[in-house]
Amino acid sequence: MTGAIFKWLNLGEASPLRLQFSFFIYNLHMFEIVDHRADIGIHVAGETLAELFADAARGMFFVISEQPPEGWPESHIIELEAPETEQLLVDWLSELLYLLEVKKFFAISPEIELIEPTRIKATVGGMRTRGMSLSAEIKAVTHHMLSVDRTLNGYETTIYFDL
Amino acid sequence: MTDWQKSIHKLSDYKIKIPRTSFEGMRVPGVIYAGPEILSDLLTDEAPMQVVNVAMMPGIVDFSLAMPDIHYGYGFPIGGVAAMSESDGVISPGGVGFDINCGVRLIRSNISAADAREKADALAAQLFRDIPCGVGESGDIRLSGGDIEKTLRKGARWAVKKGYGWAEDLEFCEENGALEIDDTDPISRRARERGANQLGTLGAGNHFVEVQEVEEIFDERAARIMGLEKGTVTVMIHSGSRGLGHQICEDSIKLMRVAAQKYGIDLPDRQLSCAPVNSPEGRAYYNAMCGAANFAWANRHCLTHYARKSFERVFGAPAERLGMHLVYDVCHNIAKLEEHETQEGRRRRLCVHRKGATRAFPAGHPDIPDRYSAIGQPVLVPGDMGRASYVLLGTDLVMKETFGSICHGAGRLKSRSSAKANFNAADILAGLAGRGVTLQAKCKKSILEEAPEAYKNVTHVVDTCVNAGLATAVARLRPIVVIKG
Repeated sequence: MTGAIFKWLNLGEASPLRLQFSFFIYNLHMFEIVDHRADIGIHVAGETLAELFADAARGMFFVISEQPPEGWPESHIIELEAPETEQLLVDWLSELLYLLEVKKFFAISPEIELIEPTRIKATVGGMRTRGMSLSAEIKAVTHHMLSVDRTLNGYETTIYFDL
Repeated sequence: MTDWQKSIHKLSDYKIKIPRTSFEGMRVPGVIYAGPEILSDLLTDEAPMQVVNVAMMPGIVDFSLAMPDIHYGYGFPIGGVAAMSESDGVISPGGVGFDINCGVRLIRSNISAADAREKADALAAQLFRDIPCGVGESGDIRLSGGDIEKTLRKGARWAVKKGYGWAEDLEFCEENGALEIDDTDPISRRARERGANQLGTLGAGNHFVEVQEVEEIFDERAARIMGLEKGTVTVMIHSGSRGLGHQICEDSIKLMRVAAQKYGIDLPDRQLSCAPVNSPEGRAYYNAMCGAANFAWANRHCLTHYARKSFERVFGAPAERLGMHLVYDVCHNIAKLEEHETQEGRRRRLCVHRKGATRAFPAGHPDIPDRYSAIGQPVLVPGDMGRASYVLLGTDLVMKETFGSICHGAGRLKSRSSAKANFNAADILAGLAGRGVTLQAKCKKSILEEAPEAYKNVTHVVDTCVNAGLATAVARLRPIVVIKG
């Protein structure tokens, strides 16, 4: 949805307004932190799979840092396929973790361009961080009790992260 | 929430059983070692259900076990031990965890605790400067593709060759710091990429470097053999295989999801995905896991090198003269192919999963260094950053009851969210200062999450192991300086 708004407002990738709007969405916290004795989880619900995946990404990065770190804007295109939606969700979040760890890219505004139960294409806007002042290290996205469920209002899931 | 009072049988004051008939699908009973203080908390947790879930895995032998530091994990409980038949059992990446060969090592010294306390601030600052730690922190070591390959194959031996750690350290690492690996092909490019700049980094969360005082000796002879003397200083290091190990686990779970379907394995939790030990998928995971384990040993060797250098700078003497010899290095997230006598009295090759549990081979076991053959391998049990850690020895009973395993630490008592909501950093720092502990941490959040009260009292965990007859205590270590990521 944010992608359409950017287009409508004619906000290019480097636009400061675009970045501010992304931070605003990031801070809306459209997820719920779920307690776990050793690790942490997030519960996410969305009217569409696209919303579910985008909010799951925002939730994961909120766990990593409640405020996005300083850096310069960057975006990455992600295209993934998986045999089932749960695996696609794990792969999607794992891809973002990989970009954070190896490319120092902190995702802020995921724009899902295409999503099917086993396929996703997205452009993810965010910051290439200058040194990482982050507060939690997520080792991995777990498969623990993972199930993407259909509800009357759309989809929901709970994802646990290994810290 | 399951009503565990109805499902458990008390075998003794330190051991409970979940009978095989309690839940449909259990192939063996669950056995949990838990003293009175541990049990009251355990019965309000869902961790026993994870013991039950593990008991449903194909080829599990005798029991699904949990140590007294048990707490809720994902897939396996933390503190879980499960041995699967090599011939018709399974191997599970979830039974090892993402941080493959997360482990602990202990370095002794001739330095008096009084001297270390006098220099605590300088020591903390120096260690914090020299040891890369914290979220996403890279180290100074950059590994080429060839270096990564050698690290995966040779583990700590590669580190020693490059000048990190001493050659004599190798004898005092479990498996001499390297598991044999047939094939590194199953280790993905991405895993190698994640490991390329993370060798010699501590990480974050519960990983630490701690300078400790040998506060109490319970077994003079064993302590003498280990080089531990009351009132002297030890250094404990807790870290693992970093992003390389996390990626290998992630890659393997994905393959195991498909393999589980292929072999018709139905499991109550996706995180338990597994494949027969001797299947192509099982062998691929075992090889990749060995590579990650070797990377972790090399990592702890590099961290040891940095810690020794810090001590040299602060105390103005070479680490050799400071007597900074390695006591032992144990892994507590691993699957090992070992031979054990099962309850039916047969010796069998088993794949022993230890997820948050430590190997504790007793005196006379052929797989431990000559120096320790008369007493058994040292078992290192870190506690929280305010109270204590312990050095234990396994008894002969561990070979009969727990596939040669005991606890790995204190185990969490409070979730991270609850720790953040109920503690404040200033109080924690004041509390630590009152206990004579100097803390250096990268961020406030890790201080809150790692608050001593967020963990079980490690003494209760150790008491359970000792009173259940699994272990004897050698020494208690008290923190002086703590470095956290």
